[in-house]
Amino acid sequence: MRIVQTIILLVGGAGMCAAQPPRNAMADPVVVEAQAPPSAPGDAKPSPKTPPSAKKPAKTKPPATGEAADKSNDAEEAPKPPKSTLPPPSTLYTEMGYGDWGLGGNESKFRQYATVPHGFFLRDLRYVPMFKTPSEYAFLNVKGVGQDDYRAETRLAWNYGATQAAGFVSRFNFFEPLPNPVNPNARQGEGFNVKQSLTRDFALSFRFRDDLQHNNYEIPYFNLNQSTQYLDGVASGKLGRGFASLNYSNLHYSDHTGTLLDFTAQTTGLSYLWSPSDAIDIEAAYAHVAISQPALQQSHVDVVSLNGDVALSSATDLNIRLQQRNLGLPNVQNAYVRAQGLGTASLFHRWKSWRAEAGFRLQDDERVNSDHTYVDVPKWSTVEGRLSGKLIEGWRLTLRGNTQTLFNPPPAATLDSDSLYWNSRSFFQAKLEGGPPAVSYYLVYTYQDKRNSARSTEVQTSQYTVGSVWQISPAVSLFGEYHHENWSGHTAFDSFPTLSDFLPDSTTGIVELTWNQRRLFLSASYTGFSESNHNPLLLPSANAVGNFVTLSGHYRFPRGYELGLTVAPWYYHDSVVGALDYNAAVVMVTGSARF
Amino acid sequence: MRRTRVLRLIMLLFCAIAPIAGLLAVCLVSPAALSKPPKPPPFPLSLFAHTAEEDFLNERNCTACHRASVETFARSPHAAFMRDPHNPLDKQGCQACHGPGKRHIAHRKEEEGLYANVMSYTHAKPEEVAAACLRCHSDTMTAAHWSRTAHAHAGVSCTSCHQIHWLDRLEKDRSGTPAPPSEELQVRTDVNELPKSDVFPNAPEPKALLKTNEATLCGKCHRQQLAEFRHNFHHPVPEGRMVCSDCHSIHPNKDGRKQVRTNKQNCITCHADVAGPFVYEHDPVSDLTGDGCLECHRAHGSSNVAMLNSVSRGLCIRCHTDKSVNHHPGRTCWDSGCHSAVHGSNHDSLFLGR
Repeated sequence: MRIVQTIILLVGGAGMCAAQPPRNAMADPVVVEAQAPPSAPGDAKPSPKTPPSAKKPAKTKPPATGEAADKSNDAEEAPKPPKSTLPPPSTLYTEMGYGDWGLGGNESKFRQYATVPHGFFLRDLRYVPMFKTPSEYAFLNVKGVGQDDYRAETRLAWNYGATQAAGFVSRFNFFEPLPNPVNPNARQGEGFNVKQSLTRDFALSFRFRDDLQHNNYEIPYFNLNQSTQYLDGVASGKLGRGFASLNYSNLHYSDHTGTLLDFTAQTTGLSYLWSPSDAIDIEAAYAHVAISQPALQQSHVDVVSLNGDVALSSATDLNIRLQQRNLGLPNVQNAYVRAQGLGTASLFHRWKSWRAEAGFRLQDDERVNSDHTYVDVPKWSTVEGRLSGKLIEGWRLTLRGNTQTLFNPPPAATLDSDSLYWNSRSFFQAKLEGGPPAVSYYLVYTYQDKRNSARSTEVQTSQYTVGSVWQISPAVSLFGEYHHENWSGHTAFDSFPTLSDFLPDSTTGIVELTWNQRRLFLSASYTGFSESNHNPLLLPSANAVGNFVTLSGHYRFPRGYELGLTVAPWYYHDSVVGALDYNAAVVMVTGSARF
Repeated sequence: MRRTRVLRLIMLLFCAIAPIAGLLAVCLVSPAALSKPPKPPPFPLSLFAHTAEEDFLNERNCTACHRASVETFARSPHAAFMRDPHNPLDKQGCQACHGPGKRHIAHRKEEEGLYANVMSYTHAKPEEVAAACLRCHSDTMTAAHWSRTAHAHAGVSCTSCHQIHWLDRLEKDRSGTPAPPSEELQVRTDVNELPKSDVFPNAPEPKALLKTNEATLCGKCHRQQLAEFRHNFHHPVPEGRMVCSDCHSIHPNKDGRKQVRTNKQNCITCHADVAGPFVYEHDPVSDLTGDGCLECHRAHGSSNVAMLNSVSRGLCIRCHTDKSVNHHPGRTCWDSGCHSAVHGSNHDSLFLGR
């Protein structure tokens, strides 16, 4: 609440400071001219070879009006600018409306992620004050007042942007999509951040966020009442021939029901990127995390990393990265990793419109028992590559992929001691995009494969995405996309239910047609998805179909007023558990005005 | 063991420093390098090199030809930063971004030399755009930072996402000018803005002069990721409750702020209840020896409950194959009330109960 008051005070203060200049002050070229570089003939001139940036800061000059401005020391006399034809900017924008859900069926599923406004609502209130001087900027934005979901945010910048502040307050309800309704979950957050530039290249910033979450679960889970406070401070910017950063953060979590343990994680980090020449950059970074939990020993994690970039030629770059992470987790009884080493080397090469990248990554984990006896060192090696460029005029191709192999896989601590880890992972993606100027096509294919040889397990995924944007005329455009995922897998055990019975195939699609004239904007879109699972346990939300049509139209009046109508017939059907079905016919009428 | 660790660290440091120091020595100390004259700065930095005060014109000159641009810039939040009289001349007003006006005017009628003498963001290469913006935004990142990013390698620069001049559909319309051709359409449709935004209006405002909402912007290239948000279960990006930068560090030096997570990466920002460390960790999913949360969950969206990779116990039997047929086969491992502390437990090594 204190934060809300602070924000209101800040905005109120800014608004009080804001003078009321003529409506067209911002658009008036004279104001623009006032920011022009000082150019009076009497000014002391630097040496012709001295860049102006090397000079002392230019002194504040009065607006260059009249003769003073006309006597610019430029070779050509400054022409008189034509009168503005842009309308004066608006300081206040408001949009309100009325909404009805027309809902039948499962409300929890309909409101799963967010709640559509209903009844009369203030959809948007935006205030952008105009300031007498151009050194300030501010806005306040409030959305969804009086609704289950709302959000307010403000940003301020003054002292020519050297000081910036922002804050927000928000609340959202969300629901577990269950056949039997449970109470809503709520997430409420508020926070602010402040940034102060000490020099043009170095700034201090501070950020705070308070997050409350009330979670209501179905049995067998316990309800949670959680709060998280996060704050951080960062000093970063240019320092010498490099970039320095020093940061501190504190994350505190508590569950007021006592179900989960509270913890506090404090992180201190520093890094420096040194650029001794245009061709070389070296960055060193260190971070220390201290984790406290009540009645338990303190845990810590230390991370040291070194990063080097070398331009081998104008077209070739080499990047080397090394990282060491040491974990001190004295309370953890069953995860043995105490140190992790990571090394990567990547080579980049550019050739005409093509870019190629080849990389190698090696990670090893040193595992130590709780009694400090050595266990083993599994190693992961990864080879990765990327190639992108112009195939023919207007078409661009991107290929990328990687393959990872696990050496010395750790044995499992379960009854079956075969390793539980994937010993091989592969990823490949091809993307083709382009087309004639009026039509843009894209095709993305992704393939992933994971294998655990010790358990004869393999899982494969293929994803296809095909889409196109067609600018039929300057006013009309059509967008369509089809996305399909195919999963397959097997293990050594092939009696029912097998792994493949639990792997889903799914399809999503969208078609959107828009018509955008000077006064009228019309849009019709259809989004749909369908899932295909064997679902051997006949669970809810595993075989569902969703069809969502959204029709909207906006008419703009010459004075800047706008009327809008949105009609959204949405349909969701679960073919196994019908209690999750819903039909909604959302109707929303909105009107907006600006002053 | 401690000694081994220290030795490993020293070895790592040595392995890192030795090749870099060697290259440094070759590049910096070799006679050839010493004898070479310093290279002239690349475009567009060359526009600002060796300039004098008289190269920077009164902005009335800009307004004469580029009236709309000057006016729309004056309305942009960016303008407040550029009007600081304490800035040096080459970091004030139009010419801070586009280069000194005198040189542009002298070459403005040349077909060949026009864009070699002014920084045009529609004609410049991505690395030129980044170089121009990072002249001032060096507290955000350096050119070296940028050049290392995946975005740089894919040719995505600052103006791919950020809009410096003010763009307001309604304001333009009120001016009585014809409907703007491409830019309005691009913002509204070409980048397939998520249509649900008409129904869920509580999305946060685009930050830092972004052209439009983040999902739309990022989805312009990351099509498949955007498609995944259309699944039955997804992070609430289409509903406007989340944005891409909640999880992804777009600017590399902001990573420091996301390194607070000891494990489980970004997820614990919101899902702090599964952060741990727990007395009994579910090792591969605790980000110690596996992929962390992504071993079981999909980050953007999935057709399975809780954004899982597989339905119900199918998720578990991918690793625990010996439990596939004979271990309570008709039940879900966690919802049945057995392994309900599957993210980690402080009480039970088999994650029974919470």
